[in-house]
Amino acid sequence: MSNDSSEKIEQAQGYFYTDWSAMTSHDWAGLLITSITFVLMVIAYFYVFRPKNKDKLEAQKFMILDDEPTNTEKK
Amino acid sequence: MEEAAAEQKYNFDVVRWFAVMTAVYLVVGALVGVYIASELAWPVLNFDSPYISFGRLRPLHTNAVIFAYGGCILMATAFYTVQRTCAVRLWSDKMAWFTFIGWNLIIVSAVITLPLGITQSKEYAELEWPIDLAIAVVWLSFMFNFMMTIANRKTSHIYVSNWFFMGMMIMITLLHVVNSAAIPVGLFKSYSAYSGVQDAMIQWWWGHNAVGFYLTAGFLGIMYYFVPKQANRPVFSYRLSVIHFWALMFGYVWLGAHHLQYTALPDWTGSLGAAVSIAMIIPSWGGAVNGMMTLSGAWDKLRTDYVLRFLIISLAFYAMSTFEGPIMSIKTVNALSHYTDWTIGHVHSGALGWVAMVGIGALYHMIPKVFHTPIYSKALINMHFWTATIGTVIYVVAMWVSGIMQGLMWRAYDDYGTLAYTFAESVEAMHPYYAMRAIGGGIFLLGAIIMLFNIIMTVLKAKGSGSIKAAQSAAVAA
Repeated sequence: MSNDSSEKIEQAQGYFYTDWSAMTSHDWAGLLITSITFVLMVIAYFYVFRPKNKDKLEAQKFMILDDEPTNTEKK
Repeated sequence: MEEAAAEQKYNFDVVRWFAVMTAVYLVVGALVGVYIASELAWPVLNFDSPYISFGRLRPLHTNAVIFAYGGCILMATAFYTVQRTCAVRLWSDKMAWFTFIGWNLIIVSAVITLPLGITQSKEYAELEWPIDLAIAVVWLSFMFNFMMTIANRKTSHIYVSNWFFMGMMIMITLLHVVNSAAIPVGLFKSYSAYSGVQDAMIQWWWGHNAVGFYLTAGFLGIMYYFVPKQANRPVFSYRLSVIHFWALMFGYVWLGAHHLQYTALPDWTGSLGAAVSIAMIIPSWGGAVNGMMTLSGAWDKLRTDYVLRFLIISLAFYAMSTFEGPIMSIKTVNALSHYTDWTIGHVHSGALGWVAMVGIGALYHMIPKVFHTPIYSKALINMHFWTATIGTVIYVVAMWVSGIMQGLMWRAYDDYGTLAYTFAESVEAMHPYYAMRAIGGGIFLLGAIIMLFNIIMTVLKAKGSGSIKAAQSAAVAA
């Protein structure tokens, strides 16, 4: 490995270096909220675009064309 | 009979009042905007009076268009659509009237206090602490009534427009309460609970999310109901609307820091704000495409349906400004654009092109339905469409040119490393564009006046023909 590439790796490691012992309670709260949000978005994405759920979700788009919508969710 | 049934089942009274006041406030807000734009072009219009100086009238303009026009159209459409999509009357008529009267009193108090110079000096949150408390109470009454109506719904599903409205209500409550935290030292004076860079960060956490949740999420709620209704076609993809909602809710709260690039704020915070801003192009464009593609296979409707034109062009402006904003948040671009008129151009492409136009489209759809009479003149709607579009384009182009020129003049150096232009020279160079901006705003204002006239004539027509009373008495007889 050339000096250039090892320098780049070191730079990248430096960029991502985290001093975990210096994390405050605010930092941990932020990290937790961010991670949970990310996971929830991934779950939402897979749920919504799963072919099995297509008909169930797309059926709801017709409800506003009906002036008296009632039971639009078929169980 | 259908109208009579709707009149009996739903509370349209409060919707009618909110709808009419929306048209009134658009004229008032745009009028103040055109006046202050003219003051910048021709300072003699200050008349050496502090009460009508730019510094005092500018917050009046922003409060009038955001909270008076924007608030009234959001409340009119939220109360209208939640009833229609949930097939149930508002949870409390009295609380709805409390919201209407309270919100309008807040607007009156802004009209009195801001020209007098009574202000907290926080952008888009200038009103002093007693009015802030009133805003919190009235806003909570709006939210509580809306949510209780949903809780009482007769439908099994909560339509996506209601999700957007609820997201807006929850987030604006949180943002308003946190940002407005202040220590009162008198009836008309208070100091922010935060100081220094924390105050700046809280301010822009509020400032950008007022855009993100109030002027975007709330108005997307309008879009997801009124575009399909006016086109008489279901929204292109319901699944996309669900992802649009959650991505917007989770993403927008991170963006505020991009307003504070190159300040005392830690550098990484601005980078994070810019990175999430770029990411937000995806859900924003997903939503814009979803709205526009609702017309897929029926584009010919745009030839004859003037109301639909407002709704669709608003989505084009939404897509444009949600692309422009993230680009401006990148540090390299921000170094040129920040503190220049480019920002003003960007804000108005969103405010006039997206927020105003989608609200106007919704208003034109709703007025005939709640007054049980056709609109007075379709030709005037068409005229309004062209004045609003041309006015917006002139305004935005003038500010783009002016802003980029400003940025370039301020950063120009000569061979000796000294500034090539004085600040006064840059101000002088702006003059033609400031005049052009006032003309563009004036054309937009003309359109707003046309709409107000059209709506007043429709209301008078409804009153003359007794269509509301006929619907109400038919409902009672039935």
